[in-house]
Amino acid sequence: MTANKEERLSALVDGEVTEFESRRLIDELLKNDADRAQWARAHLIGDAIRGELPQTVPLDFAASVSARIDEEPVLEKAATSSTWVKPAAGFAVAAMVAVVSILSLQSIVGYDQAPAGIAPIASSSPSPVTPVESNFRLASTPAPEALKEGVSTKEVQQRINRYLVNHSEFATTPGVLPYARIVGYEQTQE
Amino acid sequence: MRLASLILLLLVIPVGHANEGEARALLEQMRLSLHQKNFEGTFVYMNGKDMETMRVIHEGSEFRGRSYVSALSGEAREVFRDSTFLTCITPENRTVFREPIRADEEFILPVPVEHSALTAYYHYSLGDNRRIAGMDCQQVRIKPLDDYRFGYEYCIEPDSGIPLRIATLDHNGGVMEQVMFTNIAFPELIDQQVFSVQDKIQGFTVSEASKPKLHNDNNPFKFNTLPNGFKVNSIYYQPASHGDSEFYQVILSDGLAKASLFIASEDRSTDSYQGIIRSGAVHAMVRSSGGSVMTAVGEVPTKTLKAILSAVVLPSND
Repeated sequence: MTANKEERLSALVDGEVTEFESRRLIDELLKNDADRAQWARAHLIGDAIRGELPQTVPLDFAASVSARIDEEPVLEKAATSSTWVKPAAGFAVAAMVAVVSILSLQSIVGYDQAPAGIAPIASSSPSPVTPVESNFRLASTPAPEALKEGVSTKEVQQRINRYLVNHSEFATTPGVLPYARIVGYEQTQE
Repeated sequence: MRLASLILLLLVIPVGHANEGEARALLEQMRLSLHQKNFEGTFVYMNGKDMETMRVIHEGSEFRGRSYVSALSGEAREVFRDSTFLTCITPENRTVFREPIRADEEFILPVPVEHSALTAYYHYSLGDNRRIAGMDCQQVRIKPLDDYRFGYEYCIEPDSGIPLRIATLDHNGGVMEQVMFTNIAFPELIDQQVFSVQDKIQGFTVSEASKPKLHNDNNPFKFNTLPNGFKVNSIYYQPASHGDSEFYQVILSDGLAKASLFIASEDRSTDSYQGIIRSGAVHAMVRSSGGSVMTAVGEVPTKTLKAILSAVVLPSND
């Protein structure tokens, strides 16, 4: 998604586009899963901020949100109504723009950018170590360039993610924050 | 003039101390409440500029209680924490990862933080009263006095002791990540259905780590100079089992922030990664030495992780 498109979608969330532009953006949303997911996310955050989510959210809420955004009339109604999206306007814009900037915030620092003094890791002999078999990946851990190639990719990711989950029990503030890190959505680079 | 200064000191210093004392008391109340109170609500998690809406349900108990956190948008990832496992469910690939709770933590509360002993590293203060999620809350700030640790900001609802906002700050006071409730309730009873993990993971591939064993009596690792205030708290050994590699975990802390140093045998066919990973305010840094690969993980700056990795002395193979 381009920055320009994010700005246009943000404007749509804010109800600050013309009727013609609104229809055009909705057409685009209906054709693009990533845009629609971003749209739903921005609205959900807006609903939460305004306290419009129910006090007790059903257990299948995420699935029901996904199902709801597949319904065209819901999208059209949201796009053409500026009254209920207005209070969250600034927040929604920030949510849209975040898609681009998060990648740099979360990215792996390359070894040459790491603080000096950390020795390179050699790789040349058989190993007694077999990482735990787990496909779980800490949500906000990026898919770093350094891990995208070679045999080490999956194993190293698994090991580091496992350590991060393990250490969550030692978070400075227990409970909500360490678990939020785990369930946060996974970024994908477009 | 001297008399005026003295009067001013008499007026100001006790207020400052009272302010710090009240901040510490609220932090201790928060620590207990996060384990022992029932609460249920929706919050927004902000990681840098990234935002996600989530739901939390916590059933308090005499010890640490049970927690459930799920994403409300995107993939419906879920985390359950009870006295036996931290269970992470990823529905997109139908997998479950289970990390056993340490035996020494099952039936005890975490050791209280001795905030009054940390004045060399942190400054405590009260901030303004704010209103979040329709409730009044009192801001409490913990400011780091050097760049080996992060700061924290809480807005604590005084009756329940639950923080309605939690923020981790860098050394310059910039917000790295935060949680802010948008609604919260304190029900007397929690619906038990939410904790029925087995029902949710039918047909999922489950990976389960082996249970860590406390290894404090036989510490094979020594440390040279650690970052100011940090010392070894405890050591765990996690034996190999079911394809899981063995490793040691050394927990280091300055009394508030904690870092883990994981030490495993080096897998030369796969251990080619080097660098730093960040997840919110948690960083991970990797180095290898003497046939071991060491991964330092913590809610601390990379400078601190680097110092820990540089300080560790591995036992000789002799």
